[in-house]
Amino acid sequence: MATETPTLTSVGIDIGTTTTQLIISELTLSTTGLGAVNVEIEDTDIVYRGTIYETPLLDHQTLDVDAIADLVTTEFENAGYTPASIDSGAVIVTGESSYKTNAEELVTRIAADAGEFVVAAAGPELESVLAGTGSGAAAWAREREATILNVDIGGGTTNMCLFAGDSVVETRCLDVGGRLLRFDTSGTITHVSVPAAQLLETAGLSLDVGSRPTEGELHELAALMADVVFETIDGSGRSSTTKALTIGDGEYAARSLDGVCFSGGVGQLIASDTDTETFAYGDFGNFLAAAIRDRLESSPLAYRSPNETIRATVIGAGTQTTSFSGTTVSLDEDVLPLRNLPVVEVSLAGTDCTSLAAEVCRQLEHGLALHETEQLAGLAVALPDVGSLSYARMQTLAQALTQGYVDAGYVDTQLPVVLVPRQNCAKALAQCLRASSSDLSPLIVIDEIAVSDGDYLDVGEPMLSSQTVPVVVKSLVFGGQ
Amino acid sequence: MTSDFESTITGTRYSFDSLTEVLAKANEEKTGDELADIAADSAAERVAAKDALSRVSLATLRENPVIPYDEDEVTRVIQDAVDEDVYGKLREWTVSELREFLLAEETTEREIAEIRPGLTSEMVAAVAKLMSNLDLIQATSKMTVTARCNNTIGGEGTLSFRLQPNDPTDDIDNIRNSIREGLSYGVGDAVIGINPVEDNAEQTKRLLEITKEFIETWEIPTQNCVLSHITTQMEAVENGAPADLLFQSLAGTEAGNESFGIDVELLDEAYAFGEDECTAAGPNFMYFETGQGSELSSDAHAGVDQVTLEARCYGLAKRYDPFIVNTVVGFIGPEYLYDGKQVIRAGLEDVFMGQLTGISMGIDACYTNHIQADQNDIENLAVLLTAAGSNYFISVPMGDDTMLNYQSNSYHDAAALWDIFDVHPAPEFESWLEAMGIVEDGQLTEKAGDLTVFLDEPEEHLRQEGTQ
Amino acid sequence: MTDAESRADGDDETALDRILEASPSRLGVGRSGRRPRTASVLSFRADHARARDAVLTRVSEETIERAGLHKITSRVSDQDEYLARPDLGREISDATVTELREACIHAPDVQLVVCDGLSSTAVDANVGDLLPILIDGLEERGFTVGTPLFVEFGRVDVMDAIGEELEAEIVVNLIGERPGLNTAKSLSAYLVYGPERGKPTAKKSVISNIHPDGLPAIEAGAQIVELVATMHEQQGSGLDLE
Repeated sequence: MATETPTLTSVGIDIGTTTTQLIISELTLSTTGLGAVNVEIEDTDIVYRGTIYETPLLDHQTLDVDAIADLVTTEFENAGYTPASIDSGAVIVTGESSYKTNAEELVTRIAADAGEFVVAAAGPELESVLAGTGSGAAAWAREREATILNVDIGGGTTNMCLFAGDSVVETRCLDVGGRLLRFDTSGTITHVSVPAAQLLETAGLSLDVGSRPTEGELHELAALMADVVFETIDGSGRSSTTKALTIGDGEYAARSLDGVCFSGGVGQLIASDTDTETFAYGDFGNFLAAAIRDRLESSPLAYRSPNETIRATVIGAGTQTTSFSGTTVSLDEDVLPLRNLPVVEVSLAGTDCTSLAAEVCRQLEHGLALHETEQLAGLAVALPDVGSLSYARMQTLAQALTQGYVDAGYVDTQLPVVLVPRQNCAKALAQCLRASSSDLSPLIVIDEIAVSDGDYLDVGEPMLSSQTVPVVVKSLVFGGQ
Repeated sequence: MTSDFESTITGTRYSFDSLTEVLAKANEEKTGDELADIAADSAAERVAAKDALSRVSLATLRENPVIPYDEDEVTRVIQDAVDEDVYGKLREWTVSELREFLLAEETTEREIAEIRPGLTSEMVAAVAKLMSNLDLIQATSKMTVTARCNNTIGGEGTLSFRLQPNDPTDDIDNIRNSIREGLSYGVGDAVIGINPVEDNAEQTKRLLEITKEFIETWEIPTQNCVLSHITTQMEAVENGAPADLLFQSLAGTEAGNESFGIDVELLDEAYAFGEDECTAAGPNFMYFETGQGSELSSDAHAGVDQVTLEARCYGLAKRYDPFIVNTVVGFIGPEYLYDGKQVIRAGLEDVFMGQLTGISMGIDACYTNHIQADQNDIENLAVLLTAAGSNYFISVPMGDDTMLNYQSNSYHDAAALWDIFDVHPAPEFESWLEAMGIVEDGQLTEKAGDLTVFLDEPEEHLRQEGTQ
Repeated sequence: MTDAESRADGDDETALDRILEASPSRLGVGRSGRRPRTASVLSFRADHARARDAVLTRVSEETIERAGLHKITSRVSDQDEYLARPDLGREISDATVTELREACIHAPDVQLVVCDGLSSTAVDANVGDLLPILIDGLEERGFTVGTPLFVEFGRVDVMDAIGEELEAEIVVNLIGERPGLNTAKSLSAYLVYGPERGKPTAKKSVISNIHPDGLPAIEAGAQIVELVATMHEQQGSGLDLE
């Protein structure tokens, strides 16, 4: 067994509706098990917690990419790290920011600036999971085999994630946040977002930009938002207002909760328990936090103090986005790392080599047609089930794969062949492929990673004496549509 | 020329060249002695050796250690620890007289305590060889050796258990859940002790931390331990790991200890380190494991039989006033202890010899799947040794240790043995079990056996308010 | 005391289900008074029976024949002696030495040995898939492979005696592991460079836990091929490898 304890330096960057922040952590890896060895992150040490910045905007629809890039550069300097020293991590654009017109351009650029192996990510589901991981809710559920809902309330959105034991049950997302309304220091409204306008209409309040609402009106609006949040926590019997503010299908599992945890900027205000009742942040957060605290007091829900609030998502992004392949892999290492490989799933049912080859060919042709070859680093072919792990089966698959790759014209593209079987068979499959033909080169086979159609895959440089590679599976969803 | 060691008790004259040969041939049948080619060749020769040994004086045993004083530091530790005044009163006794003293009606723990300082490990082993299984049980049942760490074990009327929550991948959650299961059956007062998959300081530290955290959260009056190499544990503790006990495997020869990567100097250093650094209240904080045959397996037996070598382990252990010493009796394999009969015999010998040496002795009554034994054999052994008064047993879920791939006593066995023999866990621990609602008036409650009892936080921590 | 007091009616069943699913240990088994429930006891006994049978039964002739193994025996004469005398399980008789010299390829790059060890079940379950991919993989890399042998009553170190007699550069010994209750099918591969009698264990490399729920046999085979190549390149094994 290896006695070395390798570490990874990982960066997390969260560009949210209200704030932008960066953290750097040192992840200690461990290998566990005999024979079928797992590589896991054993320990997380957050070595740098950056300043919390207001997210720079050019206007309400456009993120200020240059200003954000400058912030990241400054933060790296403050932390004493360079992008070259970063091994992994993620840039995630969250909340309303992911709706901005240039969100995709932004994360892609920042990810490229931040290090060789830093990935761009977006999407409310991922955001919800990362927030619940960063807040400590996930660990709490895992350690106690409990069911806990993490509710991350930021400026523009509320992202809930339901954890039961060590699994993620579901995510629940709302267009509710502390910054749906913005104010100047006198309390005059300077901005009303679309969801806020809906809520005002439901409440029968005729407020708009330029109005100065009374405290009573603000409490009324905050109570309405809290209703939406608590109906979603409850998961059943939602009002039409809640439905209108729900992102996604809103079909939730009925679960009794052992606890609820609030993170995000509003989560911090909930935890701080000091009724400032001011427009300290130029927004509505304090009112919303107070309304939620009121509800909690009369609720049977057990409140769990989060380990992290406003930094929950960025910590999740900086510590939880990398996974590791099985420890028997086969690699032509020279081509690594590989980034942004579109995943093509191939179902290998049946035993007939010709029809298996045809299926491989069909999926590869489809994948190649969707992407421009010049911009493609390669296609990752996911093999969710290779069938029985027998030598004869491996030989059949090797023949079928070789034939499929040749027939689809993939071999002519000179792109690396990347195969991702779910089962532990990477070395065996690679040996059979090399025996079958020299056409499939360079060849990367990594196993025990779950990926599916539509995902993108990054494969890092090998670690632990080439026993494993760090892998990031990305599902990029922009605009929440 | 006549030998000093001979016998005609079976009608044939047997003579033996050395005390070491007599000691070896007087053993009950063990495959380990046969593998070492030192066992009696026949049943008659075995009895002849016992007969010859019965007439040997304690002075002869003292003056002829099985490995010379100059050649072996374990011998030196044992010899130097002898109280010469006490020994002076015993030196003319024969082994036979020592046996009959231990079994005499009027001999109690008090009388035995008076002679202990005058004994060497060779004397302790010799008298065991003259005893039947019931003799061993009878003599052991008189002896009470207590030890104190965060609780007190070995007291009259108590029977403790090590909770052994091993996992084949050191999975933290699985380990925690096994601890929960064990506690719900009332075991864990001897120690919550984990055998780690990998022997490194990081992993040792991590496992010490999670066990300590669990113990503190639930305010359990027990101690934690991770059974990596002693130097690994010291490194972990230097890095801030909380260890109540320090563990090490011992052998009965200097060469055997060398194969374990230890010597007396290192153990002395570890002991001094533990006095300052262990998190337990103490004063006893060392935990040793031994087992017949381990010296032979590392080719370090020096032609000495495995019972005598085992007694020497205890002589060495005593120097460090351990909280617990554990003989892992059926783990090593059929080439040392062939079957259930040999395992049971070795278990009875070891606990007897440990208690006679004056250490807090318990046992891992266990078997591997290539030995001719099964769960019935170790359940038998547990009953016999509860009757004898072993300080504790090892326990694992349903008797199945999925990390070490062997079987030991089940968590269930604890509850059954307490009931059958009307004995109890360590007093502090029993009070805790009552406070947790697992035991009530000595009876198991509905909660007993339900690990989910320990899933939540303890009551007062359940609902937290305020800032973080 | 009531019978069949079980925890199964606890108020936290889903959490318990997850715990039982995740742990290989026998948790949440319940109790009948102070003893385990009947089903728990029987399941334990069934697993122990499988483990015992794996130790006590012989590797099937079919496995040996189908894998094309040449069968020899260590100096051990029966199962009892095998368990009690590991020293004899590491050696081969003079007659066997003569047989090896006459019947086997001399001085191969790689000599493959299969031993029953402590689990015939492990050999039966894994060798059929493992050997062919191993042999093909070695030959594809240009290694000469010796006559594959099956050693009845063999211990790990019998590979040293065989390798020394046949003057093999590398010996691979596929041997049944001592079974646990979780599986009796676990096989280990020991590899040694420059085999000679008395070569210490630390100078041997090992890949363990080869079974359907651990490292699959075919994957182990491909992994052994790579390890052999590394050993050949670095001219060593075990601690001698970087």
